[in-house]
Order: sequence, then structure tokens, then C-alpha cells
Amino acid sequence: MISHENIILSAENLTIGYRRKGEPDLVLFSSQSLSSHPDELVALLGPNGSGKSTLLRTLAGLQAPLSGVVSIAGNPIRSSQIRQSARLLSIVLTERVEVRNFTVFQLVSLGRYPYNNWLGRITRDDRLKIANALEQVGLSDYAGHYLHELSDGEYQRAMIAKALCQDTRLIFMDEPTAHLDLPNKVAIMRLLRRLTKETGKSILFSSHELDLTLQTADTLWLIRRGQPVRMGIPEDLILEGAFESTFNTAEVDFDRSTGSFRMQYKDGYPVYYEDNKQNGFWIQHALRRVGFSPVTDSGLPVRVRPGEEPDTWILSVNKKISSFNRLAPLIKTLLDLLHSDPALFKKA
Amino acid sequence: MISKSPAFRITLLLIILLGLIGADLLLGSVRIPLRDVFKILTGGESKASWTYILLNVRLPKTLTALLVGAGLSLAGLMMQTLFRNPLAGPFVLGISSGASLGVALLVMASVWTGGTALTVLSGAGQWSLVLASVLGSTLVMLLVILVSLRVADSVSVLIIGIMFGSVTGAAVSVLQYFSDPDAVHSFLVWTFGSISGVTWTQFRILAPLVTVCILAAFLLQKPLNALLLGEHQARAIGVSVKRNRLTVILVTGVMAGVITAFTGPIAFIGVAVPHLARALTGTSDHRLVSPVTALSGSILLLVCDMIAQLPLSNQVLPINSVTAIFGAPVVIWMIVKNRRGQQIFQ
Repeated sequence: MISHENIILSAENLTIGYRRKGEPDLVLFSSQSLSSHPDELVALLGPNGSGKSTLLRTLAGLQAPLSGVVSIAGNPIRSSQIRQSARLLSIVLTERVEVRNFTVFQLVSLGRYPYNNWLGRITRDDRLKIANALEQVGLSDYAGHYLHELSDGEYQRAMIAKALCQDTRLIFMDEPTAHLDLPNKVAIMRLLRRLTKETGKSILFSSHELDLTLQTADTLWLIRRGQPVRMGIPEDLILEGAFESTFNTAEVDFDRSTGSFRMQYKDGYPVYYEDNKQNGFWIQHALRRVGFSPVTDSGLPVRVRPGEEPDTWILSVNKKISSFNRLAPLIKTLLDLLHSDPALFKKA
Repeated sequence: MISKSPAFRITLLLIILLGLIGADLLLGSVRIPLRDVFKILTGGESKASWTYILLNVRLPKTLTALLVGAGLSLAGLMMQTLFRNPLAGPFVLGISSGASLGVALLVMASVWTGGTALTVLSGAGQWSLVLASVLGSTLVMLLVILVSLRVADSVSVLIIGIMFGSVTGAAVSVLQYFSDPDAVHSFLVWTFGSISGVTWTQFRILAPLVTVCILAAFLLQKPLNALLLGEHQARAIGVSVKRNRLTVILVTGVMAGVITAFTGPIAFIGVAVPHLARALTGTSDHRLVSPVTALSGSILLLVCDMIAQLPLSNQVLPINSVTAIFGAPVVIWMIVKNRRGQQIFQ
């Protein structure tokens, strides 16, 4: 049991949503108790429109909760006290704002905004903090670079450095890996994990990157509209079936064994596929992708099986056999057949 | 630039500015030797006519150019940062249109009520003109502030400001259409802008107000720097966006309103100079851009004033034509420079 003093973010009996004029409040969801702790990397996962951003806004004090209290490090958060909140919580946003002629150093130094005087004077202590933040995100050599010259990955790192510079125990990030390529997504996720462990900060981020999040986050908050938030470590939530109830739709299935989503292909044209465990994965992949369903119903007139040689395939249509050593011509033949004689793909 | 040091650049600009102040005092239809200019300025004896021209015509005009150039440029800089729009200027919220409406109403009403337009624009009428202009611009500014208190984002404020400008502009057109040619002509002369018409009495009102606004613009540089990142990011680091937006609009409104009241709507300086300052300093950091904008604004308006005097002739060009001829190429250059190399898929 984690002791009460170690809680950084806490929200009790929170109900979030929107007040509307002349209508009942629009309630997105409510939750008994939400909390985050030092060193903890928390990921908010949920379908679009589930209320991830509304939750982040509410927790940040940018929007009032319908009921409940949010506090950070024991201080209740109110939207009227922006400057005070900026010392408790820093926020990294998704949007990339283009500023010409503004350097990385100038950006990161804005992280000192809640602390420095009316002139925004950067003291020696501030300089140290800026240099430290840049080093932590691996941008030490970029202090003099202009923001508009940075790649998206570097830009995101610079924004994270700004948040670190703000010296808060809690950092919120809204989809920190959106717009990034895979290596950069991985790098940012690893960075977030390392930062929580090295600095003791608590980082809360929303994401749609299921694979990476499952591999890096300490805790997941699963959010679905109208349901209470489900909190837990990734593996527990998967084994409990929380992902299915949060994400499943008619078109995707959560595969509990691999922790990933698969598109559902329920209505494909049936083709007999004889599975002998060789190269079976990619040919089935190709068949599903173009709209066929590989089934093991031997009564079908169209049949596909691996050939004797590796990476060859045999297509038989009413016992007429042709052989292929690439998948593209095989798929094209099947699609032509479907076009000229759809009856071949009906179950007997 | 020879040196990258900001202090060096500001010193250089100050030296240029001092040189131009001297040159502006020297130039004019009457030739006063440099030695006598010094003598008169330091309280020495010289020809009475020269003393009068220098102290009561040239000096107030030069000082006005200094303040107006710096003020309009800073107002433009603040609007460009607040709205994150490179084409914003001091009059983007319809403040000059409001002033125009006030002046148009006054000029044309004075004709209908029997007085002639000319008495309005000269002598005793000068104060009613200033008052009408201030009332017009204040009214528009109050409307904009009211809107900005209700609307969440600055872009909406910008659009609504432009709409107010259109409405007041249209009202001015209607007035012109139904007025006699003399009144229309007097009004047109006012719209050309002029810094040479400012008397010492007027300057005593203009100077403190504009100076206070210039100081306020310098004090605002910290939130302005944060606003460079957009309102959301600014909020995230603890900037009260609504309060700062209100302050910026207020300072800009007072500055642009007061200046317009005394000099007419001087165009282009406010839009063009901030871009020049950013190009000169190579940064958007207001700690450096604000002073350089103020200095460059004064310098540019002094240069424009000297060109407007048409050296060696008795004619004076409308200051607005000169600033536009200077300002337009700057704006075109800036747009061409920014658009170059920009593609759909970055």
C-alpha cells in the first residue's frame, strides 16, 4: 500500500463533463479515486471522444469538474490561480506552434516563467536548470538552434525540456508521440520512462499507441465514456479483459495473447486454405487484406495450399491446378476469378 | 552585421537616430545653418525668425516623429504577437476607422450646422477634431474590449475588430457621399496624416500618454514572449491569457487612438517596422525586438518626414504616401521571403 504522503496527483469522487444551458449536464464519466505517485509513468488510453482530453483539462484545472476535487501535491487546483498551478504542474501539448527566429534555449527558458521576475530575467541558477533539462532530453548541442529548424522529434524533446525546466513534480502530456515516426516514438517513450525514474516526477500522458504504451507505462488508466476509469498495471488489465470492454468495436478485436488489435474480417469470400504451418501467416494475411476468408471447409471449389518448394503456392479451381512463386499474381488471379465467376466463392 | 552583440546594435541604432534628429532639425524650406541650430537649442541668441521656426515648428515636429514612430511600431509589434499574424498592425482592431468616423462626423456636421470645415481643421477647431478622433477610437476600442472579455480566442477578437473597422469605414463612406466637396476635402487631408501640424500645446498631451504606453509595451515583453508560443502554451506556463490580452489591447488602443487623434491615421509604419526589427536582430525575443522596434520606428518616421519635406522645395508630401512607399516594399519582401520554400508536405 502506497502511503498517503507519496501521492502527487489525487482526484476524489471526480465527475467530468460539461455544463449546458437549459439541459442536464453532459457527463462523460466519473471515478471514485484517481491518483499518481512519484516515479510513476501513467498512460491514459481510450477511444476517440472518450474524454481523455477533457480529463486532462479537468485535472490541470483548465476546466471545472462537475463534481469532485483535484489536488496536486496537496494543493487544490483552481482555474483562477494559473500562475500557482504552473509551479505544480507543467503541460506539454501536441500542437506544433511555428515561431520564427526563436531558439531552443529561448523556448526552454520560458519554463522558468512562473518563477522569474517581470522582465523574465534568466539567472545563473535558471541557466543551470535549462542546461540540465536540455541534457536530460539529449538536446545539449541544440541550445542555439532555431525552433523552425528542428525535426518533429527534436521539437517534442525541446518542449519536454521546457516542461522539465518548470520544476514541477507532475507533467501532463497530450499525445506526446503523435506525428512522430516509429524510432522517434520509441525514443520519446523511453525518455519519459527514464525521466520518471531519474527525477522522481510523475508523468501522465494520453496516447493512442497501444503497443508502445503497454511496454513502457507503469500504470494505465483505461477510459471509456459512461464507465468508471479502470486503473492498473498493463498486464493485469489485459488479463482482466479490460481492453476488450474499453476498445472493442465491430471492426477491431483485441488479441489478449499478443496485446494487440486485429481488424475483423468477418464477411470475406471463403477460400479453402490448407494449413500445413509453412508460410501460412503471410498468405492468410494477403487473402484477408483483399477480402477473402481463409477457411478449412474442403467443400469449396477454390483452394489454396503451399507448394512443395518453399515460398511457392498452389491454386486449384475445380481441380484445375496452377502454381505461383509470388503472392501478387496469385491474388490477382483470385480477384479476376471473383470478378468473372462469383459463384465459385459461395459456400455449397 | 558586423557584430552580433545586441548592445552594439542598439547603440548603432541610437547613433543613427541622433544623427537623424539633427538632420531633421536642419532640413526645411528655410535654411538654418548648423551652428545656429545648436545656438538656438542651447538657448543662445540667433535670428528671431530662425528661433521661431526651429523651436515652434521643427522641434515639436521632430519630437512628434520620434514618439509616433516608436509608438505605432510597438503597437504593431504587440498586435502581431498577440494575434500571431504577421500582417497585423496598430489599426487592425478598427481603431483608426473609429477615429476616422469621429472626425468625419465632426467635419461634415460642422458644414451642416453652418460653420465651415476650414475653421474646424485650424485654429480653435483643432481641439474638437482631436476630441472627435479620441471619442471615435475609444468607442471602437471599448467594443473590442467588451468582445475580448466574452470571446475565448484571439482570432475571433481579430476578426470582430476587422468587422468593426469595416462598419465604421462604410459609415464614413456614406457620410462622404452625402457631404459637400469642401468638407470631403478637409476630411481627406486629415486622412493623409501629418506630423507637422502638432503644436506644443497638443504635444504636451500627446507626449506623456504615448510615453506611458511605450513604457507599458516594454513592461509587457515577458507575457508577449510567452504568447509567441500561442495562447494554449502560454497558459500552460502560467500566463493569464485573458488579462494580458486585455492589457495589450488597452495599451495598443490608447497609443494608436491618441496618435491618430493628433496626426491622422499614419499607415504602414506599424505593420512594417516589427518585421524590420526581427530581421535586424534575428530573433523574436521581445527583450531585444521591443527596443529595436521602437528605435527603428523613430528612425523610419524621421526619414519619411525628411523625404516628405521634399528638400529644396516648398512642397510637403502627405506623410502617409511616403510611409506607404517605404512600407509596402518591406511587407512585400517579408511575404516573399516567408513563402519561399514553403510546401504542402513538409
